[in-house]
Amino acid sequence: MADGSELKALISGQKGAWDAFVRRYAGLLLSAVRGLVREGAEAEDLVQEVFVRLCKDDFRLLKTYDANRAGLSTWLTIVARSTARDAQRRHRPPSTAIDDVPEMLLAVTDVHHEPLKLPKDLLSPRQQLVLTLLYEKDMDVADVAKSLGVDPQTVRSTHHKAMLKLRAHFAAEGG
Amino acid sequence: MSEPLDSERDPALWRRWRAAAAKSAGREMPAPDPLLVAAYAEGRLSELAAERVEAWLAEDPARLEDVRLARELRQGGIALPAPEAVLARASVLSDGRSGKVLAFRRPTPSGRSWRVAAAWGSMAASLLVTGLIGFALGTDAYSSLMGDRQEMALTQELFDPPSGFFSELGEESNT
Repeated sequence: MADGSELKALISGQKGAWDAFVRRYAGLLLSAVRGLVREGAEAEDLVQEVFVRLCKDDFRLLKTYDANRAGLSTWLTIVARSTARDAQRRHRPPSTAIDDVPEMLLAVTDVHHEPLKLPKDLLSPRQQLVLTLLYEKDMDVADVAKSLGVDPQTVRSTHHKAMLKLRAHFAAEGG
Repeated sequence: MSEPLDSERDPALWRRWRAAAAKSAGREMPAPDPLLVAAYAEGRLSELAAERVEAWLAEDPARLEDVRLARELRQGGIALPAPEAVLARASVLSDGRSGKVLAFRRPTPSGRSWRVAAAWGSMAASLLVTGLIGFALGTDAYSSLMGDRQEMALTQELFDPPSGFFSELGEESNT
């Protein structure tokens, strides 16, 4: 990982520091965009776009990085994925493949109308995320646990608490 | 102890909640700072800050893959080797003095497609010219060969007893 002095040298505009940075992280960026774009020229163009973002406006984006808050490789991966998703949005028509739409959203038989009075904080963000992953992404408990970096029992317990809240809410609504 | 996840009631309750939440949803949540997401991936956030990231992830669960990949690559996931061309292109991005971004792009596929179209076009044109010359030569030769034959056929028809001119003349004189 690049240390603080290397990053300082890079941001101050030292060509050697930039070259070392490119050599060290180009492979990581290539791996980060993999899966979002086709491998080959498209992925390589995206890596170039990430490097452009990092150094444009006198390294404005790179200067926002803080080694005390996250590792450089983690941050670069997130930046690269975000750049790739932006590029996807620019180049693709605004449509969604039918296979990507959760089956529940395609259902047309449910005509139940909910009142528009939802308690905002009924479910915590983590509870919403866990239920989204379980019921919309069809992930199993082990997968959700791995994605969130927690143990499976935490996922089960989060699910259980969320369902208790939902049952209580809809029971009170008369459903 | 948590109950099993695969009951039929739980997904149905979540669908009701999701449908109602979609109706009452306001503006799309802005993406958090990449550094915040990176810190989340590394488990460095406070519960409150983590909730902010998870609320965003619940809205766009595909982003969880970014977090998962960032974690994997940080924990020693194998980064792809970067081709020399990628390194060369990125290396010249910064001029090493002012952080000024230099334009250096891979030749676009459109330039290549123009060259291919031009090659096919010239090949089609040369075939057309060759065809026209051949047609002209053939027509001349045909005319020069068939000219005499046509004259002979006319004379033969004139003197042909059953249908020729003199035969008709003979018939008239007989009557």
